[in-house]
Amino acid sequence: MGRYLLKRLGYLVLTLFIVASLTFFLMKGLPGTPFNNPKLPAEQIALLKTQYGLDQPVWRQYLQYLGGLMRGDFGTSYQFVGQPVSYLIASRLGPSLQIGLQAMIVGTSLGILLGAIAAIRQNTWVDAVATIFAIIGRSIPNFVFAALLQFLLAYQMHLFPVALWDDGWASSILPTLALAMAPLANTARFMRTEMVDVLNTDYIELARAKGDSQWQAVARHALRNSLIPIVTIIGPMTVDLMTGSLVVENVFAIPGIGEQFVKSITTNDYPVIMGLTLMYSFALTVVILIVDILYGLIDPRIRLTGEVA
Amino acid sequence: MTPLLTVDQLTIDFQTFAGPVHAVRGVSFDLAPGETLAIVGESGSGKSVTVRALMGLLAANATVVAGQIHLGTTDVLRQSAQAFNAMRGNEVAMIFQDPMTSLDPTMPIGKQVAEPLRLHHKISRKAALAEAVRVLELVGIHDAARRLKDYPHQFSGGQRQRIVIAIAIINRPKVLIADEPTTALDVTIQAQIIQLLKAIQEKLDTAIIFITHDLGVVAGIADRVAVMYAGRIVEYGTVDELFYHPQHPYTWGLLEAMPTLNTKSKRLFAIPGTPPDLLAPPVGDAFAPRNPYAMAIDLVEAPPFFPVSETHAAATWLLHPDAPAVTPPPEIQRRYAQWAAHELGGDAND
Amino acid sequence: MTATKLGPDAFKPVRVAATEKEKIAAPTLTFTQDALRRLRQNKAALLSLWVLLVIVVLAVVTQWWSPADPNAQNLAYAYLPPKWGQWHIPGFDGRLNGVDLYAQNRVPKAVYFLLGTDEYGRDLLSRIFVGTRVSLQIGFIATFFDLVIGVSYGLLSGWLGGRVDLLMQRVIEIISSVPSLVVVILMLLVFRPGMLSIILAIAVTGWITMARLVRAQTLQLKRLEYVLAAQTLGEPGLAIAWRHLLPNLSSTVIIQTMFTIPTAIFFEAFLSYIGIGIPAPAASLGTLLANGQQSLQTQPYLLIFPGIVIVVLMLAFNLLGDGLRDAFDPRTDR
Repeated sequence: MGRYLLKRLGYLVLTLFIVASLTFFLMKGLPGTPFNNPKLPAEQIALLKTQYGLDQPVWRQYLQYLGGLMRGDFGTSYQFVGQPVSYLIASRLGPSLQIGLQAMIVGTSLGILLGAIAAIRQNTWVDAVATIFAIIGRSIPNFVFAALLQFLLAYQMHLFPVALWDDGWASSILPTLALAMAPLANTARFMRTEMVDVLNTDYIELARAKGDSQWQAVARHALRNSLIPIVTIIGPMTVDLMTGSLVVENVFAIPGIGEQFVKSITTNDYPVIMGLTLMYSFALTVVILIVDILYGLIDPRIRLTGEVA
Repeated sequence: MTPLLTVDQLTIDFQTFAGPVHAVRGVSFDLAPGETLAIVGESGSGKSVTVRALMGLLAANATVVAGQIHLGTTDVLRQSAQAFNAMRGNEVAMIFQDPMTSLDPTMPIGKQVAEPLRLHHKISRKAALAEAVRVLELVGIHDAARRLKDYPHQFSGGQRQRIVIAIAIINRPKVLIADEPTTALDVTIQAQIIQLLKAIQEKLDTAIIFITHDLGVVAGIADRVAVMYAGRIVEYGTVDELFYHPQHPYTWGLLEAMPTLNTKSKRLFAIPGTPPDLLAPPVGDAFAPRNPYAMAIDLVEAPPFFPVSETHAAATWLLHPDAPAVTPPPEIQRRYAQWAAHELGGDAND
Repeated sequence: MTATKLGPDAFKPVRVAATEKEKIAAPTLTFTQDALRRLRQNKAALLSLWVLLVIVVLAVVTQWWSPADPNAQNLAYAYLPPKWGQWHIPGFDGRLNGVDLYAQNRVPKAVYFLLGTDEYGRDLLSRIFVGTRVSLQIGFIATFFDLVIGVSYGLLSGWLGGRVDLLMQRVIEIISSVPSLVVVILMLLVFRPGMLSIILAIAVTGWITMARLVRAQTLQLKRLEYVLAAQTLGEPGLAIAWRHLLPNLSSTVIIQTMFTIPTAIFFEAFLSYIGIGIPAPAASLGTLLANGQQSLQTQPYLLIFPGIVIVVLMLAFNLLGDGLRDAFDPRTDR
């Protein structure tokens, strides 16, 4: 277990190093900088370039960037002059994390419920309704869904705040719902497949032979066995949530990192883009590592070895 | 003795894309307390479907079209779902074919063995686990107390089948159904499991329905045997009657196909052909196309049971008084000779 | 005993023909026939196939026969709601919040727009046709690249095995540890928005799933007897991969393709939404949606109609993909 963890951590660092390097050189290859504004006098531009270290040779900039990363320094924003990228990210992480976690909890729990019910009532109208719901959830682009939620529930019915992050928890309800749609649909679909498989196993038949009613067999045996593989979709789900947060935060004008990322793209704020790319990659690799470890812990059949699957 | 269990004209259809498959076509038998009935047949002969109907565990696309099952005074097929749940694992219990997949892989075995107790009786978790230890020791799991928290993958196939048996007998059922319990196991383990079932039967006085396609296993455990073919019982009788005085050509074929120490031929015998398609069962005797002794009437009308003795009957037109005498295969003649010797000696023991 | 219909001959022995004995009564179906039978029974998948065909034909044909010029601006006709001739169908009678905007703007009686107009007075229906065409193009071409890269990468990785496989899998792992959307965005920053760069960006990230699936299946197929036989007979490795593996991979690949196309369409829409998609004045479903979202409170139809089109497209692809998977993967047999 210790060796396994060490090995995985090694890969994590290597991955982040490669991502950092790639983004760095990608950004260097970009045409121009935001300081190319023709209205700015030449000496002003030169001053800015010195200030950001852009007058240095590229390899030195690269080493400086990597060195900075080691100390947790992601550079300085172009758009908000003087503002460190790490501070910018940290100050905006809260709302994104809150909405992301809420959406994950709502999405997975409802998805599991929906998928399980569909599997138990397989090939009935309940199954059909749940499946159609899940497929529609998968088919509506999240920004369309978010916009519709906003239009119907906020503008038309005035049930929730229209946008912004100034109304406490109420502000987070609509964004959470909009963001939860994709994980909900995916979990429901995955859960249904797993549960159908499990319900056809011999040990469920044995449970029934013991005298378990259908629901008892589900509660005692089927649920746990089909929930274990669900853990594996947390990785892809995290990606969904990251993607979703970019638009959902924009639709609802939430001061999170997704909104910041889009803003940085449109203003060519390269240091922030690089920092956020690294942060997304870091979050994703850590989530995947945690999922793998968790999977080994909850499934008694798997014992972690030095092998990387 | 009044039978513990009676199955009367049980008829079961499966709905499929191609139409209804008549899997069980009028099966009747009974079971006395404490006896062992073996049901023998090829895969697809309807033996597993029959006992699953008794357990109320038929697949969703299967329906009991006709027939009755009585357990004591209970009309099994017409009881409520709750009554079925209360019966399963309590009065009637079942052991399945593949011990590798029969146990919940994510639950410690102690909890799995204790589950039927907790389901059917008001008993504390602790007491149930203590009883689980006792039953596990009884089925031959050593050091059971320390292994309660182990998971199924930590046991071998034979041990897992013992655990499945422990689950089945923990409530001392009146009827224990064993659906090919040894098929998935090594030959040496097979013998151990058969021994275990016999020992349990003696101790608990449980009646056993033993389903198998292997006549060799039957001799070691059964009191009576019923042979099934294409959804029907074609011959039934005591073990000795079936083994030494068989009347149905299908039973002959099964016995011929079973290698014994006396088998002289270098090639093993196999019954030619394949079982019929139960989507459209043939008119007349379903075995006729594969039967070297088939007669014109076999293709027209299904034979009724012709009694051979009080305990023995076979559904073959060969037993009709008008039927010509036929010469059974040599292996069967040899068995007849043994049977005659025992009959004259008045001692049916080997 | 029962009286028999045969009389005295009833107990004459008969011989049943040997062929009769061996006859297997149930009709047998090959795997593909069986799969197609299952697919035909899936009404949702069949309907989806037809819907997709209709959409594709419409999108292609309107290239030459468009209801109006999709780029023709006429500010006098800006923001006109949907109107279907002189019929009074609620929502399609030229009124918005009870006001007849056609009358208010003095639009001639003969002029009407089935799905309304945008802020430049462009016909929304025509723009939806263009947008669907562009989105489908992006979806299909990106998926084609996905297919080529993903299948060859997966096939190579699985077939060669050993160290090469290990290295190739490590590369996949690293690429997939960056959310694909972030990669797409980075690529678009470098290549500047446009149809080609969007397609490239989507293709660069999309092939990973395909490569993984193909590799896993190749590993399985590699151990099968007929592949071993071909090896023993001295067929060169890549020839085996091409002749024996690829045909067996086809169902996996087709099914995955059905899921890649909607993903690509979604990505395009997403990129247009955050402002780095197809540049104006060209239209795609994404730009139409992004545009519609801005005036959602005042002109909801500008979002709703392109929204319906994209949802129907995604639904149809997903349902068809599900249907194909259920039909070709007996494990999920219902």
